[in-house]
Amino acid sequence: MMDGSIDIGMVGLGKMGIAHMAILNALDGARVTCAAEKQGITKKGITTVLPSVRLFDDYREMLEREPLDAVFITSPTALHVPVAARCLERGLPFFVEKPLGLSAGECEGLVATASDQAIPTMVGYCKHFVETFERAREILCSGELGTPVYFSSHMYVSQLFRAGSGWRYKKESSGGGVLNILATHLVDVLVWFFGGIDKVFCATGAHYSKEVEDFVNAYLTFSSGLAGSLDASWSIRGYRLPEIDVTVQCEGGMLQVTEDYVRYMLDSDERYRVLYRQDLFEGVPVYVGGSEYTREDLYFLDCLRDGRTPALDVAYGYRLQQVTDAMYRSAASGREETVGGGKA
Amino acid sequence: MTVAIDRIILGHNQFIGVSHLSQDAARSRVERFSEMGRVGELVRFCIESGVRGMMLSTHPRARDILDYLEAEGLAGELTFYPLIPYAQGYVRRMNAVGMTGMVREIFRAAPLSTKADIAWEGSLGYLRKDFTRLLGAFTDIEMLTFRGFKVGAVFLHDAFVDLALALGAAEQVRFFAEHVEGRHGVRPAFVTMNFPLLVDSFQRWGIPKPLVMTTFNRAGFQMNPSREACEEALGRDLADVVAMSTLAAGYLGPREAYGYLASLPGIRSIAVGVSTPEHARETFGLIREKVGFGPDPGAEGA
Repeated sequence: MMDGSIDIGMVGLGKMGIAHMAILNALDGARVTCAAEKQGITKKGITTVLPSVRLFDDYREMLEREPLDAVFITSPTALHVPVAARCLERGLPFFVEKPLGLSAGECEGLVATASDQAIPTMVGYCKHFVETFERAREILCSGELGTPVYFSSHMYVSQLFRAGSGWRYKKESSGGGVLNILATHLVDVLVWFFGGIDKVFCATGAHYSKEVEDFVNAYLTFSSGLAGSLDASWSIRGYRLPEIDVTVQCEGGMLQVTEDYVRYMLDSDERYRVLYRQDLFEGVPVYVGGSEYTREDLYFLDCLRDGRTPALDVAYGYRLQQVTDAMYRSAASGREETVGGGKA
Repeated sequence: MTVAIDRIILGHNQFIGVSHLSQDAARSRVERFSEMGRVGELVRFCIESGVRGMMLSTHPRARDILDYLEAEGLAGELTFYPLIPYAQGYVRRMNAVGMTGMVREIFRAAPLSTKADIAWEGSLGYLRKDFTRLLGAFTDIEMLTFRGFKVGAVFLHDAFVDLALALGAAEQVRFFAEHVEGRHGVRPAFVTMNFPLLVDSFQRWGIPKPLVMTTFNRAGFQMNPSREACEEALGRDLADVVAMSTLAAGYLGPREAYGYLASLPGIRSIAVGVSTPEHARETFGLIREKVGFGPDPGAEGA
């Protein structure tokens, strides 16, 4: 931060890596100075478009040689924890795309080290920066609707209708299928809304993928006693974009939220109120693929400048990883499982 | 380049299952327009109303729509405005088969002429070394869908324009513009959600008066960084602007929406989606009443 600008190194330049790189490049007060990426075609693109960015094949060499203020880890999931651990060794704050790792077990050492060192870390759970979900949480937390008593939820996208290839569909590089890669967003939203999950009962299925699941269905019980269902798949027709839908029944009304709207009703007047994204929209300094990505990057940069620990730090990412681990355990055992422990 | 751009351009979202209001609405549109006869009915009504410009992305359904319109004798009445590439399709394929797999798939679908060019240049490996030329090959492949149809301008999708703006990719933007004009003989155009950034960047990069499709609506929806900044940039008259999302994806009533557009200086055209002939009649009537645009038969000169 020699001239007040935050110097950033990227690790992994897939779809999300390029999006974050572009946003960071355009924001005031930040600059991407280097990147680690192996794919030749991507490297050629970056060299052509941003010749000032120094490229490395090996992230370890980049972290060793480059003077950096922070690192964005946007690699396949299997590299998240190893790269994050190397960042902590060098005292470097980092942003890591979700999920934090392949499993909770893999993340344990990292979380302990991060806690000891008090280095800012953040996991990219971007739904916290989508206006409709933010507003839904405000309404639920306000108590206006009373205590939640049941919820149903799903996350679908029309993505996979024949065998996929690439790291997402190999268990050793992804940690799992639609649950660990996609539905972790839904688990995040539920934990953000309702608090910690104690027990899970889960089933998974696959039709297109050999190594990972394409479908997941679970019944989740929270510490508060609230319970409800989760259903997720990347093989559902009619979902051009990934869509989350959470519908909550409360003692005094109901609420439904998606990326597009929040709809809620109080029993006292039985009037449905709908807030669309259009009602809640706020512009961003630069838009690349979604306002939420710009907002999460701005939030992380603000935390760095102010010396704050982001709310979505590795400890939070680890809690979510414990939930997905328990869901996988339950799917394997056919029984209810306790989050963070053995069988319920 | 002097180019005629239709004052009212029929949007395509309703035909390919896109709604920025909600995915529920998008799914009902998919169902409605899965029957190709309904596409034909609507397009015929638009033509009869004097609206002869039609936006169409390279969605997998685009070719079927074009073939149908041709078979019905409607395509020859229309000027098409391709929106390339079909970005969401690429994102899904990238998620399914990875970046390299996606590039391979695209080139597998390339026409013989493009493959011949690639071979002449010395294989895909050569293109990998020359990233900018790769963009040209992509453009040619995307434009195949529209071969034999009248094209008014080629719009580069906002997913790519906004990425280029954020990365400061001046050379690639210039290349696209020159390639579309030189190879395809039509005006290049750009879709963006960052209109002020585009105006500033293009001015700095020496790209004069680009044709730009961007969001203008009373709600300020998807206007970045703000409605005020977009209006200020529009007032500088540095781009020919096609307004899109004028109803904020169905959130605004048309009377209110077009009243706002009428208050803005320099809107060149309006891209608007309609779902039924009745809806089209109301929408075109209000655009005529409020904004004073067409829908007179034929396009107007720029």
